[in-house]
Amino acid sequence: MGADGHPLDLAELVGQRVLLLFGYASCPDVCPLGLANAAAALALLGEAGADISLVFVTVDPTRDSDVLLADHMRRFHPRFRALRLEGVELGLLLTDWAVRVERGAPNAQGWYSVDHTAHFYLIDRQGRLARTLPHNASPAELQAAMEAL
Amino acid sequence: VIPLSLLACTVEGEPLVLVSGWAMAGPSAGAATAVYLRVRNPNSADDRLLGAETALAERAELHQTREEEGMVRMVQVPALTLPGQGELALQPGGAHLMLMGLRQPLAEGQELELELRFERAGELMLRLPVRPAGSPAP
Repeated sequence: MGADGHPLDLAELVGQRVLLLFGYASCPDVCPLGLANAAAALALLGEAGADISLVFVTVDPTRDSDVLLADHMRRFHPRFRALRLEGVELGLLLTDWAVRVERGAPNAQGWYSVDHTAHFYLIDRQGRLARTLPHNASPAELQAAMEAL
Repeated sequence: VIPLSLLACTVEGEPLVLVSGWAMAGPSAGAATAVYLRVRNPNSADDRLLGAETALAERAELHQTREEEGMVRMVQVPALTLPGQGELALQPGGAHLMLMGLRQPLAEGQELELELRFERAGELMLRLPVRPAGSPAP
């Protein structure tokens, strides 16, 4: 689901550079920082980054509806898209990318965190994983890594 | 009769100073959200942030984001040190206050009244702006 509300079609991404990350919309600290830094990196890249897509895969499809995700992406960048898979489909994707997810125990209000491995995955125009950066990479680090793709 | 000087012992030194801070706009009631801020300690002795309270959330917890073997977790901590003549910085991706169980959605443009509790300096009342997720660190 894109910030424009249209479902994500992976075929659209062929031939583009892609920044892939995993997270969840209600993440109160780590994910917003990553998304904000990625948006800042795109701003630094300007026209040079016009073909870069960011795809945010939710690790919490239970709480993250398509509408909520599209709204969340829109807050950060008009080109950010979210991918919402469930069950086996999500499981396979997480395995492919070696992403581990641990749902925390709900607190008294029923809220829970979803701990997860958090990296930026940089995918080149040939669709290959070119580089991995830590979740707290700075806008300048992300910019340099994407320029080198 | 208790001497006034003894009562005053609960609060020591110069008052702490809020440098800047904001609370993250929360999507819905019941959710959790983070508060980031910087507090300066004009006193020579170290102080410790022990907790916080706000009428807008059930609970406020001190959290530290940590990475362990690639897993990013938020861990509750009992206290955060505010060094003497120094600053305590609660920032995205690091130490922060977590408001658990918002009593109402926290919207951008709103203000959050918050009370911080320090070991030496006592209570510090704050009024912080509510900003969107991903706003720059205070």
